[in-house]
Amino acid sequence: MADSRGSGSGPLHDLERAILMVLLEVDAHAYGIVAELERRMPERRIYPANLYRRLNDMVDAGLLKEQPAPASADARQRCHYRVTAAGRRAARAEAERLERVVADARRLGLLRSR
Amino acid sequence: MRRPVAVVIYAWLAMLLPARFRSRAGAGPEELFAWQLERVRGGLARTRFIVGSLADLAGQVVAMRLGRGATEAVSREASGGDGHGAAIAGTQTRSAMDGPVLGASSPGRFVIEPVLRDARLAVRNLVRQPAFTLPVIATLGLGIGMATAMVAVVRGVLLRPLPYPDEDRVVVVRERTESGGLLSASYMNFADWRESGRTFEGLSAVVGPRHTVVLGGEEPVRVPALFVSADYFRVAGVPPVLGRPLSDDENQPGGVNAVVVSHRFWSETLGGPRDLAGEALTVQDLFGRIESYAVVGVMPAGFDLMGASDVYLPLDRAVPWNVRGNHVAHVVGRLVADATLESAALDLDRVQSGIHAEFAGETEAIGVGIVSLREEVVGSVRTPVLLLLIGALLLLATSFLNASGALLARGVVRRREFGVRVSLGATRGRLLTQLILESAFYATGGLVLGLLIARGLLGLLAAVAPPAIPRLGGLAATWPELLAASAALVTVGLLLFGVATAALATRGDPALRSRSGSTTRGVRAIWGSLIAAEVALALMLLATAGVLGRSLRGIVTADTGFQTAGILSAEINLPPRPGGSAADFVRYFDTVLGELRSMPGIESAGLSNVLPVAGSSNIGGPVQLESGDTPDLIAQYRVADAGFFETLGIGLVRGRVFDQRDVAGADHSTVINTTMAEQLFPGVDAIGRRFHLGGMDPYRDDWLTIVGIVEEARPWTVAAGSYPVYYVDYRQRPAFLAFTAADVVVRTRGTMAANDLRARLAAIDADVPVRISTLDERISSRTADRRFVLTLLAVFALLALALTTVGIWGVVSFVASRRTRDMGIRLALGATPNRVARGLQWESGPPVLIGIAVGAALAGSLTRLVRSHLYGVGVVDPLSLAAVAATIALTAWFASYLPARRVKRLDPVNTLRES
Repeated sequence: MADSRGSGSGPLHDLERAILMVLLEVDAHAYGIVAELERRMPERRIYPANLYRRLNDMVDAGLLKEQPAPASADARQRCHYRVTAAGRRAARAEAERLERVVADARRLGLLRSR
Repeated sequence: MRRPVAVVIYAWLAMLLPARFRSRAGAGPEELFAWQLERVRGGLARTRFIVGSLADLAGQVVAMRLGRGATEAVSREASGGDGHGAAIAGTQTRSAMDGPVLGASSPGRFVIEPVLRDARLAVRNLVRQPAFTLPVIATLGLGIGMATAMVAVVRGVLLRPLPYPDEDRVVVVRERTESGGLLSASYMNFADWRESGRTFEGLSAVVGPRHTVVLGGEEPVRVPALFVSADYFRVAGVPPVLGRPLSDDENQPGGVNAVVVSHRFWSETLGGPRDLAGEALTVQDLFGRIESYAVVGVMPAGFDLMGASDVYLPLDRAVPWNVRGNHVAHVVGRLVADATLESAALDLDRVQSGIHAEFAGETEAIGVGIVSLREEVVGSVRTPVLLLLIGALLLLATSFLNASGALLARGVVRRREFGVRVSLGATRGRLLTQLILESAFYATGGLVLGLLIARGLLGLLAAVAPPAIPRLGGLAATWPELLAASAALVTVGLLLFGVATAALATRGDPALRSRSGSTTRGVRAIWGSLIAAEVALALMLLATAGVLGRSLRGIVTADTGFQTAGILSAEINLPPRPGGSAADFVRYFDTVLGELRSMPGIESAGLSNVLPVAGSSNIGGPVQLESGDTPDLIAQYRVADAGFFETLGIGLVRGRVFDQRDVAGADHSTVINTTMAEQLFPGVDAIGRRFHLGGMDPYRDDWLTIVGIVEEARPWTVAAGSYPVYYVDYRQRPAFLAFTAADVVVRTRGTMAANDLRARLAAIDADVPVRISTLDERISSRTADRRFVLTLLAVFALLALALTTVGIWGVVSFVASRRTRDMGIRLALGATPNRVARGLQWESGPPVLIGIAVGAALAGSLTRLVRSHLYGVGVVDPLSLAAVAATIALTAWFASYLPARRVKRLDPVNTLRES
């Protein structure tokens, strides 16, 4: 089931995409993700319940893996998230899809071609 | 560390998330929320973040909770349909409706995405229709606010522990007579209890509070003083904030003079010194001695075990009360850890029955009565406070019913929209979800508004509450508790009404009705029930308020045996003067009464130490007859003069009142009331007979000769019964004037103002504190708690009536607007507009009548709760019930008249063409 996600069947929710992009760079706990998202997209508000639900769903879908943090860490940082192979595929599929969108946009003159 | 309110709210709401989510995320969301909240800067941004997060959380809760059920509904639909296109409806159409779906990996995914979009859509819809949204939110907020405030009152007044460690072990002890009556204790009995009782960690006698003038602060002040025996501060278990309590050495005969003061007195009168060394007060003790006391301690602010007081003086230092019949002491004790009220009562009953056996002639108490201090403080207000809670809950129910009616109307209007969506593949679950989301939106609005209303109301109550209702202050500050109470009420209401209404609105196959704009029979039946229920609730509230109002009126206008109109009273507290004697008091009041009687605006003037408005005084004791008998009767001992009877219009039955014969040195005369005459000398003439008083009476060696019998003068508090009173002349027995404040009463000719009286008294002696009020004011302060309860209940009742009116109006106008086509046809066919309007107006007739009948039948059960508080009126009062029913019927008629009247202006041709 999980693989159906990674096979590039459909577009990702923008928050899920953003989470993937953050985690592809660095493993992080929820706080780190929020801090990084806030830095990258200051105009976008991240709501806690929504974030946790997305993370859970992405774990369920096999895109992410939960990883216990070192025991010494702060209790709130005990759970790190890491991108799985399926997650990486989904991100690539997403990027390719967006690339096509961008290419179309250029062809139609919506974007200036470089 | 204190968590911000927003985090508390968030955490509370997060509890509603499904268990399987919580078990994974743990406290994650709320901790993350708190962390993020700290990082947001700026008030507006914070507010937006909080509101956004809460809305998001609420959406997630609904989505996750409904996710599974709705998905199941989808699959049922897919498999159980008629076969034709079932698979498509189950999958592809859904995708078309719900937008991109990533996959079927998690069961909730089908729904969560669209639900969030629905939530946004719902909010946008509602915000765009303020004319519908705001009244609904206002209605809910009103009900939630009032109910929340009353829940907080019940919690704060009745349930909250008193501020003493192990407060359930603090008890109040009284003497119990053979007839079961409870009396304040005599000091000697108390001393034996303290000596022989085994179930108490501490037992303390308290006398007062008495107003006394204190010198030694920045200026002389008159403050309440409490005389307490050794264990008082130990019983309270509350240490002073500064210094120490009175020591046992100080609280015994021959001890060093020491005093503990209140926090207020310390800061305001003493100027708040950190070091108490050298601080001393000059105070008059219980026996008129004026001495200097060293200040040794300061109690915390708000400390008021056994009454608020500014100075605490040692009681055990000098105890001249060597008899057991003087009931001067309030006794408070702290039980040992394993004792119960029952075992303590057994313990002291044993001690007291021993005392009774040994001193049968001296004490009438055969045992004790023990109640917890909490019961003592709140017992008398429990019923009224619970009544208010019930009243507020009925109002809440009315507001929910009202909002349901409005939501139902909205559901009907949107049948068409729903029908379109269903034909495009939306499931009933989706529609339900949206309706429930909308309900949640209203509920959240109502919650916020309700919290604000509750807070305002609690602040208002604390400001206006009569002293008879304790512990009302500070409740508005208990935010998390208020919130929890509101949220609980909202949840219950939402479940009861919101979901039920939503389910009803989507019942059946909306697609079939998508073209019908009319209301169905089923919906109208529901509306009828809603209206009937609202009417019944409003009627119950109004009827109870009506009965309480009639009862209060009965109390105020009851024949008390004395007059109040045009009578002013001046409460006079003669300050003690070093070296003064009782004769000084007589001289002062002789002057006052003489001067007042010569004033042109005054018809008569008199004096007493206790006015009948004040209820019973606790001065009294067993009476001994010449025959040696001590009848079982506790008579009230009053100091007065002849002018007192004249001024208050207390009628003379036989004999005479006091006159110039009754001066110091002559035989002491007394005037008794009819009850005393009947009880003391049944069937014989009481005039000329003699008795004297034991107990604390400083004149106990002087026989009193009965010279006259007067009518009863009783305050309404004991209107149900009468009690024996005897009056003595202040010139013969002035000691009590030095003991308590005296009231000078004057009957004016209507031109006399309180200020004239004050000026004249000040001219006699400017240093004497005087408080002037009319007798009516004195009485109305005694009914303040009843008026308070009545006012609040009346407010609830009127609000319920207003909501019901609006509800009826709304339904009738709505029905009218949906049926214009109908009516157009009827008008076109020749029906007169009046007839059509009347038919429409009668739409609300049957439900209103049913509501009135049901409400009238149930009203008695609510009123029965306060039966013991009623005076002169039955539980079911036909008069007020009839008045209330008529009011409701009229209001309902008017509420449906206005929208129905609009029908008359319809132009049939236009109506038909438009539809």
